[in-house]
Amino acid sequence: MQEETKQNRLQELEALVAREQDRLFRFAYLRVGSRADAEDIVQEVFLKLYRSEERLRRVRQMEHYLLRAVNNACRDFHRKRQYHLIPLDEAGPLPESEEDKLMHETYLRIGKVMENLPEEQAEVVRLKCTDGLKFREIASILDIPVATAKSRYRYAIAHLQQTIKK
Amino acid sequence: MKKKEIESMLSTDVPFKASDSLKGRIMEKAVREEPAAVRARSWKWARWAMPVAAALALAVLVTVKPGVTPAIAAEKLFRTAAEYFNQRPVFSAKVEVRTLPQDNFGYTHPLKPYVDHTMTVDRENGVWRLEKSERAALYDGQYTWIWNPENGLGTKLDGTDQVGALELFVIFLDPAEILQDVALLDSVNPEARVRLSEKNGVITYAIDSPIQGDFSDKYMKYSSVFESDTRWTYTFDKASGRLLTFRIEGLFSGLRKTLFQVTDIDYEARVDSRLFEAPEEVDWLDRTAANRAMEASTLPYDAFRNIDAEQALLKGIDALQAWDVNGLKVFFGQYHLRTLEPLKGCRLVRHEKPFTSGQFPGVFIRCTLERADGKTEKRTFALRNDKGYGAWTVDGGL
Repeated sequence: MQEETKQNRLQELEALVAREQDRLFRFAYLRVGSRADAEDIVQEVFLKLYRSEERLRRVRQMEHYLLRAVNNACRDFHRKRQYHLIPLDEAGPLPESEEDKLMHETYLRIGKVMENLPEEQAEVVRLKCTDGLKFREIASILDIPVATAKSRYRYAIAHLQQTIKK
Repeated sequence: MKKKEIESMLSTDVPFKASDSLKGRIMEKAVREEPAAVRARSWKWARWAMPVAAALALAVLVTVKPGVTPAIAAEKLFRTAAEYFNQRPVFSAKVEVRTLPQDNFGYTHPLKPYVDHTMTVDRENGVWRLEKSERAALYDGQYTWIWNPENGLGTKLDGTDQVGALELFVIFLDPAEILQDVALLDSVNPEARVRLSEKNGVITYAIDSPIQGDFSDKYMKYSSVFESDTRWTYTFDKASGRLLTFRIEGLFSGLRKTLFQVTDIDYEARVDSRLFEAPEEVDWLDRTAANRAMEASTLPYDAFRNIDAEQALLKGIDALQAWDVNGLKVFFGQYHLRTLEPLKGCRLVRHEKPFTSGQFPGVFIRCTLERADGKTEKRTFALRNDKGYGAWTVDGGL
């Protein structure tokens, strides 16, 4: 019986990965700028979920759950990197295809626009403009009130309007 | 600028697609975490991450004669190959390694290009020679010699240091013994996975081995084949049983990359005995135990003992700045003074806290140095104090 449950969970995981992996990969890539790191993060999020032994189809609002998990993992990723100099020969990914080059250029372009924003504002802007989420969804992922999400967004746009003009 | 224009700058239509293999890797890991009974019924997920040859190997396994397990078949294979080596005491091997031409023989990295190596062993006389373009080593039966053919600087070490000099290439000193040990690996390492297959008269044996060492700091991760998740693949000639090729692949964030591969073994190699003599034109630094013991009474080892690594580093950089030769001979004792000269007069701009990584028995410290000419450079020094006399010395980073 236990084996059957585990088989079912593996099947649920398979279906979930097939459905969500590209979206989560995109989400992670636009925050960490490397295919290898983004896939590591996505892989770890799925495996942590699987290890939690929840029946996956019973997790409510799975999409938000996963985005929140990936967002937190990306934050941890940056926090760990903050204190370590990267060996020069490892600085920056090596894009291997045209698609990867395009992805990386997009990451750099968007990052440049937001480089002077405080991180809590940049986070909301990314979720709204780059990921196309609604404020209600953003609030759920960041675990903040909707009003706070809207207010941070407003300040961020005002800031960008000033800085980009210059 | 209008809000809509800004929002447009921050959006994108570029497609972002995860690698085709990501789902397979996730499922394979999930399956591996399950007990064997569940794994056995879930092998279909394992196939996604396995190359085609290994998938065929599953088919081979299920048709193996009753009573002949993969472990028994592998043991016979390796025993035959070992015997082939035993009968041929002199051999030469061509090896490609993803590394740097000047770095030690254990250093590998998945992003480095291949560097050609030649390993020649005369087991009858107990000597060997290993070389690549900017690093060579040999054992002449008494001493170990390591030098850089490009700059003509070298180090003379005791014979007991030959294993440290060879690093991974130590497997060539007694390949028969290594081959016999490998066959037993899957029975002693519960995390190892083995695949056996045959095609066109060539038998392929592959074993997956997980990473070793603590990599909470990733500096040393992937820098040697023992500090990565690896697959070791051997091919054998079915008719004679001789080992044909040998490959080590690392798994790096889901991508498999060959780090080390033996592409050719010449079992009938004819070599000149002069190949195993230390070249005369090299400027040798004598680091044998006898010579170091002689120096110990005159050098300031005390200054680098009973302090922590950071303090030792500060003293070592002071010695560089002041060009204190005696201090340099302790802290940078492994290096020729000529190698240190570019750093003469330098000063330490900043450094980070020491950290450990992988299996290295000391610590690493990242620094920024300002040279006498005003240029700055970043270095990561490897420090250890377990190599005799208890003093901190630099073991890498130059």
